[in-house]
Amino acid sequence: MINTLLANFAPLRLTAILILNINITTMENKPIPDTKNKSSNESDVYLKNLRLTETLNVNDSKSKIRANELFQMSNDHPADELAGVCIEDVHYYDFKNVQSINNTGLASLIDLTKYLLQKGLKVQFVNVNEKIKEKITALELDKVLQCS
Amino acid sequence: MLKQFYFNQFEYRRPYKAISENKYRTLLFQFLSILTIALGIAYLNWRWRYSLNLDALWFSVPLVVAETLSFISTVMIIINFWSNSDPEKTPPIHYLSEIEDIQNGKDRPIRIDIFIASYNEDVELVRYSIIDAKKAIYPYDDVHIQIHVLDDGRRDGRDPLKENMKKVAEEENVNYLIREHNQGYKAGNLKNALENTNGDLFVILDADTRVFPEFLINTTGYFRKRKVAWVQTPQWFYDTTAPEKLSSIINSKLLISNKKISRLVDFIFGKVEINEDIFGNEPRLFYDVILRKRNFHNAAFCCGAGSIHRREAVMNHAIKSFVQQIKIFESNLSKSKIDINELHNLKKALLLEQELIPFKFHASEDIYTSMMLHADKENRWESIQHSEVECKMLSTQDVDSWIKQHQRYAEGSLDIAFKDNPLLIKGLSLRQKICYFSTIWSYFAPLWILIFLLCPIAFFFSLSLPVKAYSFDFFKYFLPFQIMNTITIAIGCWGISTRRGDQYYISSFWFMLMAIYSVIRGKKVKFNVTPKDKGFAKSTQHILPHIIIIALSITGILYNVYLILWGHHPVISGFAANTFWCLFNITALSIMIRAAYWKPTEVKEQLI
Repeated sequence: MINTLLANFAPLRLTAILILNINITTMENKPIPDTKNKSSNESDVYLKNLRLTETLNVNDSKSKIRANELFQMSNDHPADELAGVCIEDVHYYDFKNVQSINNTGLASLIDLTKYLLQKGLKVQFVNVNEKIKEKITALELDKVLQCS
Repeated sequence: MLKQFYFNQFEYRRPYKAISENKYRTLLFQFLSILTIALGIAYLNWRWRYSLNLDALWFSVPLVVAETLSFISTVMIIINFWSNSDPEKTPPIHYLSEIEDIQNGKDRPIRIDIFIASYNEDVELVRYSIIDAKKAIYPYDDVHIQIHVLDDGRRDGRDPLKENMKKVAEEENVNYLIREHNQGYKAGNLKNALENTNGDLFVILDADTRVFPEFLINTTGYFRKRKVAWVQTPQWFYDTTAPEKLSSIINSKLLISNKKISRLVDFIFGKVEINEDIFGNEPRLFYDVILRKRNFHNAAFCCGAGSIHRREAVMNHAIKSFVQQIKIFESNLSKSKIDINELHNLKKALLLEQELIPFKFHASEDIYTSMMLHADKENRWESIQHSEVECKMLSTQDVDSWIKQHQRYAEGSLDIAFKDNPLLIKGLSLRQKICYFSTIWSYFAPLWILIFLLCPIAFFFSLSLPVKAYSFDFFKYFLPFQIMNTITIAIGCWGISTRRGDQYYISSFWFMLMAIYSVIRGKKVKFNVTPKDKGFAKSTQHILPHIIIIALSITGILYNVYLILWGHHPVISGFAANTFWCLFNITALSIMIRAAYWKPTEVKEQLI
C-alpha cells in the first residue's frame, strides 16, 4: 500500500540529480504536526520529503538537521527529493531509487529518525536495496534505522 | 588597515625545510639502535644483579627503577624512529570520484571547507587567519572552497562588551557559524561545523593558524588513497623569540654607560647570543622527526590545527561511537528487571539523548579521535604526517600560558591512558600501540626525572652511594650505553638540536607531576584555550620547585666541598660523579627560571 501511494504521488517522484546534498523539510514548509497531542482521527496523512538540495539552513526552527549528507541515486531516476508519507504515526520513505548511501547520509538518517521520534513519529525506510541494508547491518544500525 | 600585533615583526620569517630522507642514515640508525638496546640491557642487568648498594637500598632501588623506566622510553623512541616512510605526493584532487567510490553515480568537483575555530581571541588576529585562508589557491575553479569562522565565543554583536567576530566574518565575506553553548569545547565546535557544512574534505585551523597559499594543493592529493583519513601538517611557530646578544644584556642589566667598558664587554661576549626560543616552543623535533617517522607505523596522530580530514572517515567514527554507546546502555538495561513498556521508553529516551560525535569530546580530542580511527578494524584508516610546513601559527608568549598549554596536553594524554589505554584497545596494531603508548608514557617521565633530580642531593647529604662503588665496572657498563644512546638519538634526530627540548623535558617535571596527580584524583580535564597574547607576570609558583632543587644542589655541593677540604669526605669519586649530574640538572632547570623572568626587548624598554 505504501509503495502504491508513493508511486502515485507524481510531483515527488525522484527526478533530478545524482549526487546531491539533502535537507529535510516539510511540504510547503508546513511544520511537522505534533501527533502526540492529536487524537487518532486527526492524524492526517501528510507528506514529508527529504529534499536533496544544496540549500542550507532550511531546518525546522525547533531542531537542527544535518544538511550535508550524500546519497547516490539511480541514473534512471535522478531526484532532488525523496518522497515520504506519514500514516498512523509512522513516516515512510521510499528508497527505491537510492543506489547507495555514505556515512554522512547515514548520519542524516539517524538525525531524521531522532527528530521524528521527538515528534512522536516512527520512521520506516522502504524498498531499501540489499547493499544499503548490508551497510546498515554492518554498522549495527539496524536497531535504529528500520528498513524493509 | 590591519591592526598591528607584536608578531608583525616576524612576517619575514620563512619556515624550515623538511629533513630529506636518507636510507644509509636510516640503516646506520638501525644498526646503532640495536647496539644501544644491547648495551642498555647489559647495563641494567649489571645494575640490578651486581651494583645495588645493599646498605642504602632506599636510595639504590629507586634509582635503578628510574633507570629501567627511562630505558623503556628509549626502546619506544627507537621503535618510533625505526624508519622513514614519507608518502608519495600526488597532484591535488579535482573530482569526488578520485577520493571516493561513487558507484556509477554522477561525478562532481569536490568541496572543501576551511574551519577557523575561535573562542576568545582578538577578532583582528582572526582576521589575519581569514585573509590568509582566502589566499589559498587551487588549480580547479569549479572546486568549491568555503571558509567558515567557528565562533564559540558567541561574539555576534549581542554583547556590546565583546568584540564582534560576526562583523569581521561578514567584512571578509566568509561564513560565520555559532552555537548557543560550549558543549564539547573545540570538538563540539567542530561537530556543529560539520552539521552545517558539506565539504568532502575539511581543514581545521585555530584562530591564529595562517595557511600558506599552497596548503590545499600540497595536501589534498594524499586522499586519492581511499584509506587516508587525515593529513597533519607541521605546526610552525614563526614568532619564537629572536636571539639576543649577551653583551647587550650585560650592558643593560649592569647599566653600563661607559663606552670603553661597553666596548670591552662587546669584545668579550659580542659573538655570544642567548634567549633564542626562550620558551622552547620550536616543535620541529616533534613534527619533523617523531610524528613524521610514525608514517612508517601508520601511527601519526592528528594535532588539530593545520590538518585536513576526510569527512566520511570522521562520520563513520561518529556512527560507530553512537552505536557503541547504545549497545552499552542496552546491555545494562537487559540486566535490570523492568517491564517491557518502560524498557521501550528508556530505549527511546536513550536514542534521543545520544549524539553523533565526530571528534571525541575530550581535552585531547585530536589524539583520542586519531587513536579510535586507527583502531577501526573494518576501515583500517590511515594517517599522514606531511613533511613540509604549510601554515604558520603563534606560540605561547609567557611561562603561564606555556604551562597551561602543556599541562592540558599532559592531562589529556594521561586521561586517555586511564580511560582507553592504547595497549588495551582492540584494532590497533602492535606498532601503533607502542607509538601511542610512547606518547602517553612520556608524560609519566617526571616520576623518574624527579628521582634523577633528587639523587645527587640525596648523596650530598647522606654520603651514601646508590651503587656499590663508582668503580671501573660501573663505567665499563654505563659509559658505552650512554655514549651509544646519545649518538643513536642524534642520528635519529639528524639535523635538529635536541638540547633545548631535553632541557624543557626535565624542567617541566613539576607541572607534569601535577598533571599526573590531577588525573589520578579523577579531576575532569579542562579544555583551556591557549592565550595568544603576551602576559608578563612573574610566575614564581611554577618555578618554586626548581629554585628549591637548585638551592639544595648548590648547598649540597658546598657542604661536600667543605668535607673534602677538611678531609672528611668518604667517597670523592661519588662527589665528582654527582656534581657532574647536579650541574647538568641545574642547567636544565634554570631555563624555566630564565623563561619565567624573561621580557621582550620592547617591554624592557618600556619599563626603563
